[in-house]
Amino acid sequence: MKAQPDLSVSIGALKLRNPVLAASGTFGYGSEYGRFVNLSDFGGIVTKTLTPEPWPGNPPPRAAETAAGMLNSIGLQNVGVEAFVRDKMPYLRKMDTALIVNVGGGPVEEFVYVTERLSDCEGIDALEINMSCPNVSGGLDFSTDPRRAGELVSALRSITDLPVIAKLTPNVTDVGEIARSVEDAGADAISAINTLRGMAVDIRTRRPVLGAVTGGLSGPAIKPVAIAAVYRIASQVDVPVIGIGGIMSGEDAVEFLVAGATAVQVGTANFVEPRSGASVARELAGWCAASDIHSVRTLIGSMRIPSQEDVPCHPL
Amino acid sequence: MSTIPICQYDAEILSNRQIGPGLYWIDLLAPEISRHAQPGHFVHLIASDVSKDSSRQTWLRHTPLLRRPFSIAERDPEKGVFGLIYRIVGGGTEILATRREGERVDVLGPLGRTFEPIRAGRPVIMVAGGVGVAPFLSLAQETVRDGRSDPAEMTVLFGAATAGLLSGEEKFRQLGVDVKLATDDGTTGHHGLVTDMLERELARSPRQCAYLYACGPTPMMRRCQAIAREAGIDGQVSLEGIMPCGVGVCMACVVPCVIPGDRSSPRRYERVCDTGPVFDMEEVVL
Repeated sequence: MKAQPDLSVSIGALKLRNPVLAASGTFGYGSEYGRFVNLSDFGGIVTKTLTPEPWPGNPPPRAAETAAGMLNSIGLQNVGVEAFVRDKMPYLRKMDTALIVNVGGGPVEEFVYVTERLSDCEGIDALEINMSCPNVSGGLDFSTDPRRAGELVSALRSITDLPVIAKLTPNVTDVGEIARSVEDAGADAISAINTLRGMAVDIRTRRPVLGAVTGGLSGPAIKPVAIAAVYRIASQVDVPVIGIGGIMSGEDAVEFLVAGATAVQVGTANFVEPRSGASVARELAGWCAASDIHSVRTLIGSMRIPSQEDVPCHPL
Repeated sequence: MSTIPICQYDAEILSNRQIGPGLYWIDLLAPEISRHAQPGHFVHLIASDVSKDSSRQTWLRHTPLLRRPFSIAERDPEKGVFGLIYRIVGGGTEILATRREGERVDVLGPLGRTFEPIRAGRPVIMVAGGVGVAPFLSLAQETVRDGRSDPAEMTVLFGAATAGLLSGEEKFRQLGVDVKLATDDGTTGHHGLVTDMLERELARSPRQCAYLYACGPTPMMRRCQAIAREAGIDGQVSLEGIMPCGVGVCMACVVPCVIPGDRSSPRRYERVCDTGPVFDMEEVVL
């Protein structure tokens, strides 16, 4: 009988029992799925984006299924940071897994407000900065501009001791450039990718399917885009990368790790299979055991790129 | 948030049969869900066969991707069975209709907020449009089974496009509940809208209705709201929504709500899956 593979990874100072996290916006505030899912199966939970005040969100319809994926335009509906600290933290604090709280806002001051409020709140292990929401006005502004991305991260870096994770959009020409900028500004890690801007049209009514016209695309359909982004980011920065996009199985997670991710987040898959955290981690362990891999850490960035000489096709 | 335990079941299909044009009834074996379900609850299920052929890539097994919500139409807690009605409207229900007896369906439930119970001495009318009849089959059945009210104090007004879509009607009659039918094409019952029938009923015998339930297409429920307001009757509506998670986390299936009785109060978005699917008639803006 082989020893169980070691699934533990570190995101800077943050130690995770396994590299499988629940992605922001797909796991509420933990307690909803906690009614019937064992939260300690996850390496950690990332909670829904918080804004300074409760936020109403976008007009419905807010979701539509697409080929191997879904569009959403929730528009950051959330309880606001005060209610979060008061009503949601007591439950989250007792949870036996890492707690990463996702921080949002409009202008920089709002991100600062939420970060300050959370920084003196006991039980939070890290903050993830939602600088890439495609569904609110200006939501993409920070992570599509290297200068503004850096400014936001350094503003938050200077006011908190918690690890700061910058969450980036793939809706840019070179995500590597944005990644370098947030690393320079002091980000402890980078998570990628947020949803891709997408849209669907009801041809019968000729109206957009979503109330907010456009939305963000997630699910297995975006996995190749996410892998490419993770690979690019990992080649440009030294901080750990958390891969997100369409992960539904342990093999999907392996793919992200090999491309350069240190951990992954499972998002849309939670809606389909609320126990995805457990199944992805279990399949990842099984895959490692079967492949004689003793620690998942050896997979991180282990990609083998064929050299030009190995490419069997010669130009005519 | 309900305190009833949520169960995830690999439920066996006991039968899955066509009961009308594009209309189906499926019976699933899931004892825990059957035991705890109350009228108004729904389940969230995966239409495709995810248990079969586990070597296929996970995403391939999950096509279509998302779960689909269905109101529980009937349950037999002793046998551990519950039944659902569905109409083929898209990829999910199309696949569900191909599933065979003995195969398994991944079901999550029971979910959502349930109906205000029917009480003796308070006659009710249930207005059902098409497959919107499902939660009322359950409501009528459980009320009669528990002896909470006399079947004579319940009236069902059931409308659909055509006679073939009024399946389930006989189940009310078996319970001794009065059913009045309406069809858009006049193939049976009143030729016209079920809401016209509601107005007529209320005009004829206003004391026959102390509480109104409605479930069906949005225009039908909107009209029911207006009629109930006019008549000064309280009630509830059961809604559906595009529902990725079904348990209150994703915030996708929201409807605008106001403070009941104050339609000019600021609107807030409430989740159909968790705050609903049953809402107070005057709470929701349709």
